[in-house]
Amino acid sequence: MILKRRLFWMVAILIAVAAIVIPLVSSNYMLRVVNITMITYICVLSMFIVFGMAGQISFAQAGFWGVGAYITAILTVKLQLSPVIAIFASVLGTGLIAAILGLALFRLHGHYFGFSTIGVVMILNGLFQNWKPVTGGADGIGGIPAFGIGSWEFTSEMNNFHLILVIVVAVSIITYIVQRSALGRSFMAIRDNEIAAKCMGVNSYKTKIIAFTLAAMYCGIAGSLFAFLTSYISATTFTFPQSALYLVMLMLGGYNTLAGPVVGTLLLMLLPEWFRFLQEYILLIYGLGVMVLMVVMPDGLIGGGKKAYESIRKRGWAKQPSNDIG
Amino acid sequence: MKKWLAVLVIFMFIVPLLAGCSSQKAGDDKAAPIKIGVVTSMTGERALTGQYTKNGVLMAIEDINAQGGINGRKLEAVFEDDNGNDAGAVNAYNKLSGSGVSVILGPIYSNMDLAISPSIKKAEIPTLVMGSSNDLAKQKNQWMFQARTADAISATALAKYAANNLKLKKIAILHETDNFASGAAAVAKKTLEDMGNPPVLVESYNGGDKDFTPVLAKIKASGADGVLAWSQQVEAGLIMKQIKSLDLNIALIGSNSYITKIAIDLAKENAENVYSVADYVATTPLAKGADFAKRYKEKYKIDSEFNSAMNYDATTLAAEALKKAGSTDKNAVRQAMAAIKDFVGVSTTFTFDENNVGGTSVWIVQTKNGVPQVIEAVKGR
Amino acid sequence: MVLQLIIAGLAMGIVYGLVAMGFVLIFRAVGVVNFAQGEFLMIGGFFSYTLTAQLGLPMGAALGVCALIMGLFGIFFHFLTYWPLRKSWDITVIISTIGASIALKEIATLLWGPAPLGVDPIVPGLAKFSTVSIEWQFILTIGIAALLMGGVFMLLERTYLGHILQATAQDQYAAALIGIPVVVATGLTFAISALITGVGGLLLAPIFFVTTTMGGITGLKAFAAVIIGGFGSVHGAIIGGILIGFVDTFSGAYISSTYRDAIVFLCLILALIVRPQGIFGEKIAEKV
Repeated sequence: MILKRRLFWMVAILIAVAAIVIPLVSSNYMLRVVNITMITYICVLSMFIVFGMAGQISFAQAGFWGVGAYITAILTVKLQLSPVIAIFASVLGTGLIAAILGLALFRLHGHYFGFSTIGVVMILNGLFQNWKPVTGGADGIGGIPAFGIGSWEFTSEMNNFHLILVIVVAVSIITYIVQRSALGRSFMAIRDNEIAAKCMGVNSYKTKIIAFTLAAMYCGIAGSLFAFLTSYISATTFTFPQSALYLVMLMLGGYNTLAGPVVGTLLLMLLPEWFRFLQEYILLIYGLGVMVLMVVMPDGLIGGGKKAYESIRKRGWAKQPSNDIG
Repeated sequence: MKKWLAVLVIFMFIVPLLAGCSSQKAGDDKAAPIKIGVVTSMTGERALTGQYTKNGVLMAIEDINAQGGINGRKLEAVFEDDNGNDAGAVNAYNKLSGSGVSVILGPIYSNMDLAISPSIKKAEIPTLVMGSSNDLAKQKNQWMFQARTADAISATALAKYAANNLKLKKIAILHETDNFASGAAAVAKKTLEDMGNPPVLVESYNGGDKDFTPVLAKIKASGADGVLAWSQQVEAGLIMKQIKSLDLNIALIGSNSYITKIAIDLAKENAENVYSVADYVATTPLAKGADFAKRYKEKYKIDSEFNSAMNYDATTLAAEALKKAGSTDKNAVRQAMAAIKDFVGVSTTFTFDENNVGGTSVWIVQTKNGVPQVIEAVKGR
Repeated sequence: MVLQLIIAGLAMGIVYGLVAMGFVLIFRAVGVVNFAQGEFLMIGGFFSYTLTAQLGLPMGAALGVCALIMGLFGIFFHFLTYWPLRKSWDITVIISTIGASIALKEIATLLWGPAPLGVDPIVPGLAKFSTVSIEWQFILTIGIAALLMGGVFMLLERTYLGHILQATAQDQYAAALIGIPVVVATGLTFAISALITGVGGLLLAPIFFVTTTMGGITGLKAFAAVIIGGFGSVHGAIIGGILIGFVDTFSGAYISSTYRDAIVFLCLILALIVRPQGIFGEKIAEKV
């Protein structure tokens, strides 16, 4: 219990420090990278909910991210509605679409559901790319205004940073609460053994739809934030490889704990910036790196890190054979 | 507890990372080299154009520095990779705008140019983009300069040549769904309609398609006697090949891609007699262009093509503006750029109008014996 | 026009079918979807360029050499992605193949450059019958694809080696108990899968040119073909591939040439809802 409270304060202080320090030391460019990283983190959290907790692999998340972005773009640019309405509409709209899709697709079991989500993201991408009157087709939608509440506008990179940070914290807290709630436990029950879960009274069909919808709503808000941040969106961003990227980030970080998405996203978004000078070789290193990390640490960095920590602890920090049992 | 330790550790090495990449202002140290930034595709599907872009820029810089640089200061280029997509282009642009460059060269893909337009407005750095879409002028972005002849001119030229010179009566239009091709096709369609010769069919396809039988079969069935096409290079090669495979022996007048070396190499004998509207060909009758073609071949051992030519021109335009401005102050450079008139490049002559559109003419070209030959020039303004 | 569309659909169908066959072989053997299968097609295509244009081999020899190299490559790929993870959750293998597909694309760009490459066909020219025409190379490809499919069938059903492969696919633990070297069986399956898809790439290179991105969307559509045909059987993959080829071509002609990809995936979802195990596929045991 004391540990939990200490943990809470550690995290809170960390976030407060981050909120103040990061905008001060970073260039505008790096701040943009951080913002995009945080938006990506929200999408990886969505993957954490639908796959890490509920065990349903979904490649549709990038499609939902796009839905959120396009809803915001269309409402603010074509219908001139306020950004606040747009952000709510994005969350609810994406959730609604996911719920409807879930109703149809969760009749499929196991990996077949996953395959259908590949179809979903490809169809969504097709719509973004070709439905000219609504999504602008290949032209995309530009001129998206900055987010604003009343007369308070979030135009600068730093404003966006604070806005996105607030949402990131909120979403993380929600995820934390869900993880420890009965709903979260039913997700994990389905992941671990669906038949047993059903025997215990979990309505797996309904619960899976809830997980899918919640995850999609995360992507919806991430999409909305993305539209406000970049003020121009096009279909080429919301693709199947992007969904695969979220999955990779989740697995690399660790699918079992809330810290996993944090680590995975930070690593895969920020390391490439550090290694930008490698230019053409970055993607190659990324691909090979993923392959190697899966072999070396199949539980992700958090899981693997824990194992390494445990084994060092057991051995004692000094490299002598230990005599005790522990 | 331990997992958050891991998070803390990672956080610890992030802060120095962020701090290390702090902003730099364009230095006005009188002796230091002036830097221009270039957003280009070094990875991803468009990595080839990236290589050509680099060639063009570096050759221009060599020429400029050999002639004394910018008022005595040397010119240098900084390249950033856009990964071949819009989001990457924005990223690359933002990286460059914070790194002390005085002018930036944007991508040749209109979609990417639209994507970076907001960043250009924010950064307020004079940027030369090389997309040909008419939508770029509509952005009303005073910091963005279109160093290319817009589709308003080239698409119209294509349509007029087909109807007037080739006397085609039943014209079909085929285009990719990206912004450049869609926009150009729309302009051509309107031109044909205004001439009383509306297209019999307008078909589009997605980039990356390999088999064009559905659209080509439809064109064949419509009885068209000519096709106007806007594509990228690989698709252009495939289309030229498949048109012949389907026994569709009608005139084909295409966009720039249709007379690039890649498309011609891929289509081989099927590229013969295909017409195109091009910003630049290696066989250009322009003295400056021919000289460029010769020196490029000597330097790089491969033939020049429009990517390298456009970027050569953009670099020399940037140098011209920097010279005229006499400093790297962004407002001075912007004004100097906007004032450029009748600047002879290797591709065309540049005069920036009130919407910062620069190119003034294009070439009508036909492939003969595997080599594009210029037939005539079309001056837009 | 319809006749020409049928020919085109059939031709594209064979392309998807060859990739789909590769998918199914690996899935049957180890229960994992290989997201780098499309890149096998690309590698085969690039080898076709190297063997003919750069090394000057006659096409017949190139075919044989390519088959050998792709087989070895399959084994190598197996040891990198599947074998170390065989005891882990299958998601880890899927992630590994995703990483592999990215790495392969970049390796190809670094080795062969970013430019699209053209290759001379084994049999040049067009075959023309009344109103339709088809490249001779395509006919050759269809012929060889049929041979390959027949070969795989014979191998799996009629030979001892094939039975070993099938046994390992059904139950690795049991197979190990009766003395089958599992690593040989799975490795060989990967080899055959890579061989088929790679040779497909070699044969198709003269028709569609070789680019680093040719694996992407083709791989995904082939994946749709596998689902429609059923994950259980190799002939299901080919039939599924041909069906997808027809859907792709005909929807492009009659519905919309820009939505043709989306329509293919719509069919995927509909097929999953109506008959998830595919036309020939495995039975889904769950009734709960």
